[in-house]
Amino acid sequence: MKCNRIRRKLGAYLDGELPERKAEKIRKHLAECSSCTWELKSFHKIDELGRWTAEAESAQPPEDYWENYQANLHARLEQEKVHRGAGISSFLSRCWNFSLAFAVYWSGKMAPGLAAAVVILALAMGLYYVRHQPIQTIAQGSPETEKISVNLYLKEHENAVMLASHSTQPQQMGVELGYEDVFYYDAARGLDSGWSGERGVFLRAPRHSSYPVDMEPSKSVDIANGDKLSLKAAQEAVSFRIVAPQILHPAYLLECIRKVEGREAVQLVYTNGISTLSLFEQALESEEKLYSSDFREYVMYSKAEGEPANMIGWNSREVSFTLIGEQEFSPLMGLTRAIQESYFGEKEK
Amino acid sequence: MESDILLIRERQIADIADFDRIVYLHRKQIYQLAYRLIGNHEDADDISQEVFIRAYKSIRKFKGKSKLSTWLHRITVNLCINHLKKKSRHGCESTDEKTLDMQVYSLGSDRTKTPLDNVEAEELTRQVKEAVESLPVAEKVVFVLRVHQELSYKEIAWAIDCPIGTVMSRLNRARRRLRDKLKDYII
Repeated sequence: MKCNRIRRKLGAYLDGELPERKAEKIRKHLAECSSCTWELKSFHKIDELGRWTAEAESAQPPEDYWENYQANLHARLEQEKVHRGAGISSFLSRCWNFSLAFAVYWSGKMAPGLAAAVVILALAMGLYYVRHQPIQTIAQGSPETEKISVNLYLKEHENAVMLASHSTQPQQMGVELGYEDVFYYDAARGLDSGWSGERGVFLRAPRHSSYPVDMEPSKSVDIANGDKLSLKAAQEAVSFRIVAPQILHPAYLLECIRKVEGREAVQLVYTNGISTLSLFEQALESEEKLYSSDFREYVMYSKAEGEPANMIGWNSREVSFTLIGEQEFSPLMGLTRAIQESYFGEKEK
Repeated sequence: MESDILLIRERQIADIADFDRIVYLHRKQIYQLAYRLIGNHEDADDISQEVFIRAYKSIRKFKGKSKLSTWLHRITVNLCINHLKKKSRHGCESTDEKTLDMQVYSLGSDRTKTPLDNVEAEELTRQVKEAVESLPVAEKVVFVLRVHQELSYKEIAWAIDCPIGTVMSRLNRARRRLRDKLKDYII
């Protein structure tokens, strides 16, 4: 085989990408040809340099980069959804305005039947636009909304939310919710009173949710407050693997674990000596008929000024988590990530 | 791979927790690929996030015929190629000096090397990086995917949507160009 033909395949030979028959021919040629052997060695050296440089760089982002990565990604995703909704809405609005103006202008200049058709078309577009305006979210500060609030299992935290929900200016933090936007049905209140529940948690249901329409408002749920369980005892009480890091960054220590009565759920209380936070873990698809499809995205309850608690909820395949504390969202998000990483870490063991 | 496909097929990323998991598992690899193709942190950050956003939006198009990671590579490569083309049209430098300084510093801080070794290593790193940066985009992509990311020819062909023969010839050309630019370190 001539050198030129060999050289075209030297890279693939070096990378082990040639079938054995062709590789053998090249080996034979290399044994006799110093020029092609040098070419191969030079390729090998280039690869070494490339790998060495890559290792030296190791593509290091700033140290705190990964801490905020997922939160930034979610924020960006959310932003895109809002922009897209606004874009479609704006486009439809312009179409409607244009069509209507067009119809009115031309109706005097064309045959009556055609003019009527144009007007009907314009009105149909308008109706479509009105019906398909994007649902506003808490991020947009919708002024007039239908709202729900959430029963958070533990009395003091429930009180915290209920305090917030009795604010004198309930409209300011309202969230416009349709049925599909409500998740966690056994925690929602006020749905039996014409969608006039109190202000509360910003929730999302999955798209195409199988959300039960004829649901009842939840009964309150108690925690066995007197019974602090060891991790082993708590683990025996539920079927899912409890995620219970002893320390949550920066300085929250696990103080106690309690079982939630009547549910396959536990409450973990963490403290840094000054403030506490609660982490609730509940099985998805458990006997209590919570299905993973009932959960979607992060749930965030944002406290208003002077109000007592923030909350973040999320689910991880088998377990739903709810983290509640007086801390600001930024440290809570950090804790959320720590818990998630702990969850994935244990899953991968 | 199997777990990836199961993860996707079960609920087609229907809930954000699965999406989070995918991001968590692949984010570093995707960031590194973007970084090596683009050469600076800001753009690599932007592109890596864009990759996951696109993946989230078009996850239903993922049929499980390739590894999820390869699919993410494909999105990354496409975004990086577009970015590089756009940059070259605007005549911008693709290497960020600050980033390069940071990398050289990280290499230079290796305590097992003498100061002289470190200076030489810094220089070599700079030269190699500049040589890779100077490759035509198509060759650079193939070189990075093969040598840095260690993808097979088949995976590269799928990622950049071209025949395996093209991968082979581009890689050969890239290696020859690099050899010519770095000849002082080859002989």
